Amino acid sequence: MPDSALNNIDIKSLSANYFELLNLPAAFDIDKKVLRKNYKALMSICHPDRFVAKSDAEKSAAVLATAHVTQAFNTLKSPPQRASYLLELLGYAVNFNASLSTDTQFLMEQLELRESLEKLVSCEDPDAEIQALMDHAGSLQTKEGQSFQAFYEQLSASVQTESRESLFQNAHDSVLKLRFLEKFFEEIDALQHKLLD
Amino acid sequence: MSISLTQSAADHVKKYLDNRGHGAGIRLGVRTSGCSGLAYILEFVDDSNPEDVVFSSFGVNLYIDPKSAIYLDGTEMDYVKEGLNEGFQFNNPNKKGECGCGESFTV
Amino acid sequence: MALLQIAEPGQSIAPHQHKHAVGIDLGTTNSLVATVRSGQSEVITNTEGQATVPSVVRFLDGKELVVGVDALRNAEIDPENTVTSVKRMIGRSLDDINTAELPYQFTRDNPKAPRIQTRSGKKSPVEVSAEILKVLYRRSVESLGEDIEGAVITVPAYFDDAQRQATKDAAHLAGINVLRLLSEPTAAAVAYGLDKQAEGVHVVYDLGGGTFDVSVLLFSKGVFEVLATGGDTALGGDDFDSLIAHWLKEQMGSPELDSAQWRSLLDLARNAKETLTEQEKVNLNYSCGGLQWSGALTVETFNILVTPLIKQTLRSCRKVMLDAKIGADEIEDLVLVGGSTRSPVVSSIVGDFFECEPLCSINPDHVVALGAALQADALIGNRREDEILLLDVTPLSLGLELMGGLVEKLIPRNSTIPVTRAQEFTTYKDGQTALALHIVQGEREMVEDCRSLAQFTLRGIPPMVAGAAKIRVTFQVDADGLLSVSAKEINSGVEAHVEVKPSYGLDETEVTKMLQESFDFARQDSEQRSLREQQVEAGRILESIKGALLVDGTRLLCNRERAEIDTKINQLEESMQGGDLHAVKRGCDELNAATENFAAKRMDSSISDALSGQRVDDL
Repeated sequence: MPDSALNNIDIKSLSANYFELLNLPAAFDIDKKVLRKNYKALMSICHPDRFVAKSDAEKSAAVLATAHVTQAFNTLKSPPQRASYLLELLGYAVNFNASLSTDTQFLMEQLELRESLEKLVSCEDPDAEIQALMDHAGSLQTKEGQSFQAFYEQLSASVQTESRESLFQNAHDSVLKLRFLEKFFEEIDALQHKLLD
Repeated sequence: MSISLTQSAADHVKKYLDNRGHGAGIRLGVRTSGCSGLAYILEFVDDSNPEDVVFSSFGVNLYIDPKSAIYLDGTEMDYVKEGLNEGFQFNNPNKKGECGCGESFTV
Repeated sequence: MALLQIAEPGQSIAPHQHKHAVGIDLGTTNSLVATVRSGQSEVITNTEGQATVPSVVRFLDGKELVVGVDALRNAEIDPENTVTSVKRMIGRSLDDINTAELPYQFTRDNPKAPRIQTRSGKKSPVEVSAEILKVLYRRSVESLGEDIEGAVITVPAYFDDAQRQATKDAAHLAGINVLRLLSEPTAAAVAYGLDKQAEGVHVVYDLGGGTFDVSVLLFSKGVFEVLATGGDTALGGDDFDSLIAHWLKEQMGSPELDSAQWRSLLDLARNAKETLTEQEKVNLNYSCGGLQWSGALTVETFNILVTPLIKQTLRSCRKVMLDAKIGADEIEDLVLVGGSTRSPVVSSIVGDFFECEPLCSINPDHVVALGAALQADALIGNRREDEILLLDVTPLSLGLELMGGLVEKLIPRNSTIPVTRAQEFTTYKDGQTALALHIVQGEREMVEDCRSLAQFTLRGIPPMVAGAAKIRVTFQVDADGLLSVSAKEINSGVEAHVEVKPSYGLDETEVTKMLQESFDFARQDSEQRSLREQQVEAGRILESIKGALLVDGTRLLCNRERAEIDTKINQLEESMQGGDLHAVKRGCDELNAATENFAAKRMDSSISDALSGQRVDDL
């Protein structure tokens, strides 16, 4: 597909924000089942398989729409991406390359998680350990999600510039923690693959 | 009047109905179109119409609408293989001409 | 004369309007084609009732060649010119191919695109595959008539971009319109009608001649979704044969074997394997090139020999379940595909692993083609009532090389396709005007451990300080799993743009040249064929756009837009009457361009409808 063909096509409904597109309230806490269900419903409408025997113009529109809907789905599916997107909707940009402002407690958690992961490689029954580690990281993730939701709600309601700045800083840190935990889950996955090689 | 299937046609219809999982039988009919006047209709039946004429042949229900019936009286439907091609064929005593493809005919 | 098929209620079509499509399973050992007749998927056999065509091509003197059984029969006496298991070579570089075990002479001038030296010239795996496809397609045309809309061709789910692209090129070379490349496991699941059952998780275990695939699929709400896929592109029933052959060689006292003797031993091994699916013991007699041996193989020995290979497949199964985040207790059905699953030891070990009684009621050699035919039929619009959607995934992660040989993954494996992902990069030197991009596929962190797909350089970046340029790289994977990459420099209004299609070492001109050479027709015939294809394409576009205008023309278009489209329709219809290929092509392009906005509005309208109403919830 030539890129120029895609550039000319303007599908207005796709300029809706990702939450509107997937028919969900704009919040960190979303129903994953509804997300998946609505994503599939949209895909049933716009997937290129529905346009195999159609004109090139229709096929291009299908490819563009499908890619956009999938992008929306992937963004909302991932906790840090979803959080970052919520902040973006409020006019803030998250810098994923930034380092965490000082939060010694979370730094300790990070270190502990990493150490446990490294120990796993040499352990006798890694499966049970992995499960325990995943449960632990999962509970941290739930807690961090709740913190983010609280910062986010305060931030959307707040009008004072000063408190907004510090609230954003908190929310931003929270996104980075969620990002760390997501990466951590990826590392567990990678480790599990490695153990099977 | 009579409309029937050959044993082979009936076996194939039963197989297709089984595979489809539902359906009361098949509809045989004609409609105007095609290169030679009338064209055959061959469809599965889920809901029959009250005015349909129903025949049974080798255990298969055949539904025919009254308008089509006059063109189809005496027709026998067969299942044939011709080289690599296979499918149903109508042996219709009413037809006077047929286009080369056999999908439409005149009476 | 044309014979009739039974249509769905109210869907009888006017004479001469029948739409046909086929599903093709291009296998390592055997290939076959299927189609849907009266709602039922059936394999298309030859006049002798044979469904499968051995995937073997033998090149004879001159331009002659034979495909299938006749070629296989001579594999022993003419191994250098008889290409078997070409699927293991398609889209692969010389490094990927186990050349030592093969009897062919490979050309080494372009290691990325090796060719086999045969007595009728150098043949690429794409060309060899095209010959197999031609035989199947010819058979389809004889059975269904000339007006076949196209084919769904199956590929192992684990096939990478290069292998998919090469398969599609082979189809192109054979003159086949590819409706979609479909993963073999997905095709098998469709054939079993798992898409019609209640919601649930299904596993497809496909052990073919040369490849092993395992996929976890979820069916819910009319969408059949691949959750994860994995496998091994270099493991299959051929390896069983090879193991047995090595064992037999040992039994013979490890003599030196020439390539014909080895081939003959492999055949003996394969026959033994097949016999042991039904018997406890098989007596073997070997006689080739002066060497003689007789003995026996019991099913116990066979099981001991092949169990390590089956265990190897289970490792892939564990990985794929990990990726799908599914436990064995959540699996509703296990489908076995591929001739190698006929061995009872395979179904028993695999069934135990997944805690499932395997489904195997459909011939495992036919099931993939049968499912592909069902999907082909659905894609051309013959199955409107129970329309389902298949959502496939990318089997391997796609990424870019960063500084220091690290890989940045843009599209992780098991992402639903089609998918587009863009990421911004920058320059690392002051005044840097070009950026080299290296696209790789694979899971490892270092570039040298991944498969290189393509390299290109974005030039014409305006000189800036390091880190100031914003280079947006976009990866796009289409519904066939094929990747295209573009890069753009976005800064102070300056844009540069380049696009690359990764290939398996053949460039566009080579493909075109092969295409031209491949036409068996005289030049004029080939032009007429192109004209006819373009006219069919024009007919398709016209039908589609007129249908769309009928539904939404008044609602979505202003008079001016409508008039413009009508003009282009008239122009195209006029040019279709004439015999000028380029005029028809231009007419199609112009009509497509004129309807871009209309297509966007229609897509917009159906998405908006879904958003505003209850329809999303209802669907």
